[in-house]
Amino acid sequence: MAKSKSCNHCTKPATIHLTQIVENKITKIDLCEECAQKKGLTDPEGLDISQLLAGGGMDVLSNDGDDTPSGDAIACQLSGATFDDFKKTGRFGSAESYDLFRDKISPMLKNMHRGTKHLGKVPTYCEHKSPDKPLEPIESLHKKISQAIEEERFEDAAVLRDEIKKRSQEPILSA
Amino acid sequence: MNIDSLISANEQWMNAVEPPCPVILSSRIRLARNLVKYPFPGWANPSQRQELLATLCDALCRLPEMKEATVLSVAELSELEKLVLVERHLMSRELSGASAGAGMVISKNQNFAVMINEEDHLRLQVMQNGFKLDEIWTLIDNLDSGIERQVEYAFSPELGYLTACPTNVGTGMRASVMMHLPGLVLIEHMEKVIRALNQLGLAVRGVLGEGSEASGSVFQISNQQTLGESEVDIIHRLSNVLRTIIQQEKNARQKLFESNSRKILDKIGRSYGALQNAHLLTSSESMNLLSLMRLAVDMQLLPEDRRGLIDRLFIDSQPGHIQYNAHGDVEPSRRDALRADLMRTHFNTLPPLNFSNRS
Repeated sequence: MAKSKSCNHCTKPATIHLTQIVENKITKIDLCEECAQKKGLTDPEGLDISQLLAGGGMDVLSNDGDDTPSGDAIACQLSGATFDDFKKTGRFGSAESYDLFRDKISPMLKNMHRGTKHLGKVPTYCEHKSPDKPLEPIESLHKKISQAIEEERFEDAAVLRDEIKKRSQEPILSA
Repeated sequence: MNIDSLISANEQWMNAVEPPCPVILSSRIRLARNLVKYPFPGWANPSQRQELLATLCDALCRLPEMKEATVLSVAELSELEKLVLVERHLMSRELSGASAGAGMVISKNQNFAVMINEEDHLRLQVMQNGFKLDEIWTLIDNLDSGIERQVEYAFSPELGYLTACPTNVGTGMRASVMMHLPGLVLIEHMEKVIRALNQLGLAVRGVLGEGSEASGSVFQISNQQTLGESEVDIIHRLSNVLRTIIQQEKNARQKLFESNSRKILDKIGRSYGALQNAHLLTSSESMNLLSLMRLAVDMQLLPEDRRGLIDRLFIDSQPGHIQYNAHGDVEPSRRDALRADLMRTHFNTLPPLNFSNRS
């Protein structure tokens, strides 16, 4: 990213550049001296990159195309919090954020946790809704529809259309 | 607000455990939960926070586990009361600094402690002495199911329980144990152990949680990852690692004793003398002295039935407890005097160290 020479936390020029490679994924953080000190980067032994990522300043290179600063200003309806707010505080405004900022959160969760799919307890009232596989992203359903139409599998396309329709009426978070 | 009854109560988790557990002091599990339709506590407005507090207190007090529970409003507690609750591991530092609309519900036996409007709407916690993560999971799972029948949790089939911080999403579970590792500290292996644990996705902290120092060779070890693994698998993996650490601690003690028994006996003997005779003790000094007394019990230099007293003094010698028992704010230098008095009183009732068991 061309503009990565300013600090990920404030606007000052970045003088400290951190690169971590985990499972072939490159994560880079650029910080000015002041922010680096605040984050405890003076002691490399005590560095916890997952905490840093959680606290903002994340810049996942594999996501190169997704470089639209405008996206960070979208606010969650319930709380009014934006992704920028999350970068500053390390906390989301409401549960809606997980849906709203899904594209930004997914790579972060991958770095932070052992997996990206919940395998633990499910509230009883959600059990009948809990699929074995994670829900497919809407975008990929759209792609599948186009493919089905192209291959003249209209029945499949109809099923996919209904699925998309159902999903757009029912936010993923409502339990 | 009066927390006297909480503080004077003789909680099960602070007293000696049967069979004695030389390395693990206590086990704890906490679950983070949030309700749908409300912003997370940090973004909720004052009236939403009050509403959440009332709804959740009400839901909690209906549960059988919370029969005769103590309900606390953080805003009504004094700074000293909050400090005491933090030192008891009932309240987090974060909640103690929370604004209006934050509260706690603590069960009569103090095994269950629920924080309301901390980082998440609910932080359920179950704590017991000894190495009991499996039993604790059953207890907290039931408590959680009891709440789930009354409120609607923010849950996604894909990401699990949704939390204010993405580091807790999924199970929302943090399982931790408090370990006493004087052997590994003395042979200077602790740094290596901490690095290895971090690589396994486990966090190591001091006795009072995040950012606190590990005085008295007491460390809190917990899982860091909450997504992509079931609760039982997390506990299983953590327990396996803990069993390895217990073994390493035992080996370290053995090694210390074999290589230079006089040195370790000298350390214990001097600490015992200091606790019986000192007139000024800082809290970190007394933690380190008490740590060696716990080791003395493990080595049968002191009778097993005194372990409970030593564990209790670990807590009673902390700054908040010293002041609370003196009924008000006390300056640090005066605290050191009161702490030394407390230690002299108790340690002069103990039998002399039985070195014949070890030489």
